[in-house]
Amino acid sequence: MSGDKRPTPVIGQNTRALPPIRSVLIANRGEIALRVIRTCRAMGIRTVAVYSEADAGALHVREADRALLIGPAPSSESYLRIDRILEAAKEAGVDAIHPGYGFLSQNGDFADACASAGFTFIGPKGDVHRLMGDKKAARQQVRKFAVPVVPGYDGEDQSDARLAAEASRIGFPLMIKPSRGGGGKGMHVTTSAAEFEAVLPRARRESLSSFGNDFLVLERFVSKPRHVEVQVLFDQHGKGVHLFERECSVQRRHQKVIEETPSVALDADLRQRLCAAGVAAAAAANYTNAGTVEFLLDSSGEFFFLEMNTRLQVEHPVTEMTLGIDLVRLQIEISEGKPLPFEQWQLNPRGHAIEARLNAEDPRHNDAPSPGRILHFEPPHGPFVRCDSGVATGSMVPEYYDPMIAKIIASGPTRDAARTSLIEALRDLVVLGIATNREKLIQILESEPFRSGRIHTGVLDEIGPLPAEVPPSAGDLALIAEALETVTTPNRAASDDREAAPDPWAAADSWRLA
Amino acid sequence: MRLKVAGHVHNVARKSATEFEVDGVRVSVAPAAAPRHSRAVVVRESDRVFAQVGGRNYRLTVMSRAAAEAAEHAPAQGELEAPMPGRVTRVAVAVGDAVHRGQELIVVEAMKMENALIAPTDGVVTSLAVKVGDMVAPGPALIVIEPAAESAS
Repeated sequence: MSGDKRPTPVIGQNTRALPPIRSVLIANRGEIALRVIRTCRAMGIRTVAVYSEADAGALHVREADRALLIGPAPSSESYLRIDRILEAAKEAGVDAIHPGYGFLSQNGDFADACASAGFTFIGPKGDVHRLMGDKKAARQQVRKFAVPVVPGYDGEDQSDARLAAEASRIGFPLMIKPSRGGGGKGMHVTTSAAEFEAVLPRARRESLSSFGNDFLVLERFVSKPRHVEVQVLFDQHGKGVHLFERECSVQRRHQKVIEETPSVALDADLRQRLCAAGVAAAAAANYTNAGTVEFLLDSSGEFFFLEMNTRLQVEHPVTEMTLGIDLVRLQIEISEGKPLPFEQWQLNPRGHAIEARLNAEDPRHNDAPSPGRILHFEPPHGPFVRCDSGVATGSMVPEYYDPMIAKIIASGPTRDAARTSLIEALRDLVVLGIATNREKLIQILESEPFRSGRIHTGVLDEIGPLPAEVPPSAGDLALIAEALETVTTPNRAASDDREAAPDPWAAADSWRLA
Repeated sequence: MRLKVAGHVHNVARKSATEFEVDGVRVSVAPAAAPRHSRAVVVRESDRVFAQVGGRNYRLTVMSRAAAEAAEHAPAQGELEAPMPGRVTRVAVAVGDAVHRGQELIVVEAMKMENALIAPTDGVVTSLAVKVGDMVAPGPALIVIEPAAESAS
């Protein structure tokens, strides 16, 4: 199924073709809704957006062929309401529903509800979401298919002898965790059998006093792991391929910040084994459509299954850039019952691509969210630069949703070419009116650990906080003053008799800038 | 023009087609004198200015002469504003309460992130403008702390 270098005949041509998808409702918002709309347009597919009261003026509402209000601002009353989304789908008479990422995208009940209401869900079946959503069940299932998981022990026999035997089987360094624990409390890392025996009684006492239970779990401790994931694609005829790996080690509190492909940590042999494991894990779940299998990679090159994301990933563009494919188009074609249009051997990535996530947050104030009005937005331009944005000048960033407002992606023949091109793009990008992590992203990309590729999931602590704000130089102040001479302000005062006008930005060009 | 940024007020005036005077020092804005990425992009909303120059972002305030002078002589105030638009999820103090420096006073939540307003000084709460559930935005003072040292003097 994977890693096969010989051409194999395309299968599935004789299977029953499903009717083509002519209209799609996108059960999402922001940049991913716009991303899906773009591909639909290119395929001649009619698009229907749904939106909450907070998103009435949002770009995805304006760009879709039709938009339907599904509820108040909180996502629990709008974007997470299966009933309201299905009502909208019926009202608009669409053929299919694309869930994007986040919200209901990995909800098996939503996938089932779409299908039983007669809509094609663009993604895997409900059972697949449920299996992979249950971490323990997912681990057990992929293990049956020889996919490595983090070695561990969570059995009933808690005797000293059994735990010691399991510890030496699992290997060191080893983590002792309270079974009921959370938040890192009561966890111990031991590096030898002698240390394990010394620490065990204390770990039991702490578990009992903190969580009222002295049941312990043993797990291999993966030090400074990298996050490497495999993009897979399976059609409805049992055929699957991998689209190589992405490395997303630069994370803040388990949120990815910078993603890239290929990973500098893999050589050809390791890449082949990792990608084959990704395909095997997906096959273990009878997967269909696009999905991503996430692994932890330790410094010795050993990798362990983490989880599977049963949807399109935020970072899918880096794969698109190096393979020259449109993943959303492939998702739609798979949902139409079409066979995969290529064989594994035909997929040959070129060069390197890096993505940076632009968030509405203030890196100098503890990453506090910064919702509000974007008074000016200028996306970057240039060869091999892509900006997938959910906002434009005048957009309101609501306080209710994820702070990610855009993704900037750059590619190049080498990692360093992509990296420098992305830094230039982030310097050219202009966002005024709200705070963003733009300068933080530049700091990371310019840092020594990122430049050299020596990254791991804790690398942001190594890179350190963004230096304190430097006051503008005299030269900067002069440039600001000069620019201010030619600026007209958003004309709110001039229309003071319409002070209550809800949205001065809805009016035509009432502002200008230098 | 007086521009306030990062707590400082600067006097900026045009002197010629290519020169400005900034706090008494002449600065050229001729394109040849400006390095790459030194284009200033600005947006002005009444007296608030958002600018991006040389890859950096600044928030400035355009001040009248009177406002600039008042700001220079104003005493340190324990006025706290919302760090971001959001919803008040906790109010830990009431008017008249004594507070100590570093104490958590109000929590504002947005995008599922909590941000606490912390007492900048020991003192007494003299005014409280919000309650739990209120929507707030940067600008107006949510709470005023009268510093302890001042009330003693």
